[in-house]
Amino acid sequence: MNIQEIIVYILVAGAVFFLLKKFFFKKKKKGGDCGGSDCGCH
Amino acid sequence: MAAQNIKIALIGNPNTGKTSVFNHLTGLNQQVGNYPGITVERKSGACKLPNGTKGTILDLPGTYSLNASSIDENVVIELLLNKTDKDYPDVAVVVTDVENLKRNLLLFTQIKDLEIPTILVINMSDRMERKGISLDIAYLEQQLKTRIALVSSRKGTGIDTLKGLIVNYHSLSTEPCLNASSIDPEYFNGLRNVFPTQQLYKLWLVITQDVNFGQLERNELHNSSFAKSKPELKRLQQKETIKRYQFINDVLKTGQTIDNSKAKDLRAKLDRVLTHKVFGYVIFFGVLMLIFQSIFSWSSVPMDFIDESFASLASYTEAHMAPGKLTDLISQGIIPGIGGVVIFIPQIAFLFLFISVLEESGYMSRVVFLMDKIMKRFGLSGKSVVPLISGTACAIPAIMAARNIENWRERLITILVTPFTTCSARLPVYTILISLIIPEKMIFGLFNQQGLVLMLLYLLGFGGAILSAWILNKILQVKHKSFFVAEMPNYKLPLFKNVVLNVLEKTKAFVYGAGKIILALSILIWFMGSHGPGEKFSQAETIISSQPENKALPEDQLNDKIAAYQLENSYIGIVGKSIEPVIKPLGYDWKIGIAIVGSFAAREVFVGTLATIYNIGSSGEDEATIKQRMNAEVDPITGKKIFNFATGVSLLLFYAFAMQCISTLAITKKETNSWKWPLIQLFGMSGFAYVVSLITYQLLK
Repeated sequence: MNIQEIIVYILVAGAVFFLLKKFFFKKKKKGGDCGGSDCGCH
Repeated sequence: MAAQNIKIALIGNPNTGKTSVFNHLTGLNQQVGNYPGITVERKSGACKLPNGTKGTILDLPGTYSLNASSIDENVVIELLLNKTDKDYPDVAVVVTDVENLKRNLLLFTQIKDLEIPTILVINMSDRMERKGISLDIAYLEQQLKTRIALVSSRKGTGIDTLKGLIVNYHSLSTEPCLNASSIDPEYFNGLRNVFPTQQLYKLWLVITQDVNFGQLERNELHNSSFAKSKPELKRLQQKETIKRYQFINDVLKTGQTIDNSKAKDLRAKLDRVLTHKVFGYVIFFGVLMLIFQSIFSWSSVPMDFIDESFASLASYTEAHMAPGKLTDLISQGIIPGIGGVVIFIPQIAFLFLFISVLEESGYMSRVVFLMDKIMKRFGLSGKSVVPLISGTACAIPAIMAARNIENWRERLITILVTPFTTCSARLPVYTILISLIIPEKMIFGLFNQQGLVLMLLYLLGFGGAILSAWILNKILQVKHKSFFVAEMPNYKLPLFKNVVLNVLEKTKAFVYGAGKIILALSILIWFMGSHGPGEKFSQAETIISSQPENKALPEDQLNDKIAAYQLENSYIGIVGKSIEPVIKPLGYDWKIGIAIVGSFAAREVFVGTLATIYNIGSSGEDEATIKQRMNAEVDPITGKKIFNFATGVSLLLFYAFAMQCISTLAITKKETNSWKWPLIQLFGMSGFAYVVSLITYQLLK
């Protein structure tokens, strides 16, 4: 496995983790309202 | 010695320019945030005051009085009554509008009764001369037992005076400006005797309202021997309000002079036209047309530029990076995926530019008034207008805005139908599909056909909302209708700074909010499209090259065919093919199906997902833009364009009606405290979208 492949697998794992966290294991927000940089509207 | 930090609560009726005062005081460095445990937004910001003193300003939701009838009003009262709250203010700044002083002062007199040091800000003072208004500030200060800052948030005047008054808040009188207990001396004396340590007006508010001020106090009060019945309390409350207005009238009789002969008022004339039962709607439709025409024509140049830049960037990356999986991921996955969101920045910016200008100018309030008349015919509450109109930006704050509807059923109907309103996330999908299926033709040499279709889709969303509200209204049988009482703000020239800030904030939210999801999904989709199980994927080149009909094909066509075959047998291809039977009757192929499934995370994902899939599915040597790739996509069996008129219209209608936003479902769950309603929303809206799209495609194909 070359370096490019390793980076790709890390990025894919990161993307899966991000999506799972965003939609399935959502933390209760402490700050940020709608219209803010990460309002949770999207 | 540590510098003093003064806690300042900014309070006032809606539309008094409170937020502008807040922005002036904080120098626009405010930190905006939801506070834990509080259901409605409070904004806080830091403010530099004279003599090195610092201030923390809390911008509370606008409220007409301390007689709470909705959740957002409760937020104000709960804070002002709870001395243990970490945000309990050292000083209250009540912002009023010079043209509506009489009504605005009701809240001021109530806050004074809470014995909090209070400063009165009379805002919009720049309009005094034009309106023929003059004030006797010294007299008003003496009668209202306060200090007054005459401010113009538009011109930025009076802010330094206000800062000076805040610093010296210790010298402010905490004495109430009238004796409200005189409405029933016997009752209030009884209260005073039983709770000698409590503030009388605080006790009165606790008794008359369903606000959580501490369970113990409520229980004590309800169990006390002098408790009054609800109708009796209501009557007393009315007497209290009348008494306050009598006091305010008396004060203003001397303290304020309005000379109508000096007023140069355009407002009344404009209102007569803009809210006219015929011309009002004609003008509104004209404004809508202008907006949607402009969205298409003004944004086409920057959009084409962005599209071409991303296509060149992808091609450049592929040519200059070392060959390998990372290069493929960047050039075929990440760049096209991100391009799919960045391309819509001009349109989103123009949409919010128009919305901000309409809001800032005061015209939006006239639209709300006009729409209220239509809403009532369909059984909707007048108060539902605000959520439905604000849903054009995003359904989430719009659903939260339904909190000011007191009647639960009305509120529920509003929450359920608000996602039909066309939110900004639908705009990217609409514009790309319209540009693919609707020719760029002018009608009567004036109107761009594409802009008209976009406007039609917005009206369709609004129509869907009021029609479904009418049906729900019949099912849920709402008997009591709440009335929408709102003040028409004055017409103003939009403040350039406010408009620009709003556009930047909303555009940033669009890019960063949707951008992160799109980036993650692009990576995942690229991976699933570039990897697959079995020999069909790994031996795609051998299989396709060995087929007799492909032997004579030129190299680039052969490469395209191999890439397409590989994609079809990749993981994403297998998933897409498995859902194809469900979406085929709607005119969609499996690639569109993947984009639709991805759109349930966020609608904007649609274009980015297709861009990634089409990039993987081609040999990747050209510099085609997203639009060109979508336009070039053909059905391998029929040879016809995938994005033809029938499929395009079917897709547009699907996106107009389907419930495709996880965040909206989550907020519906939160607001209704039940999974039942978001599930009804999801299956009801999406089922309806499916049926409409199916009928449309079958009729048009």
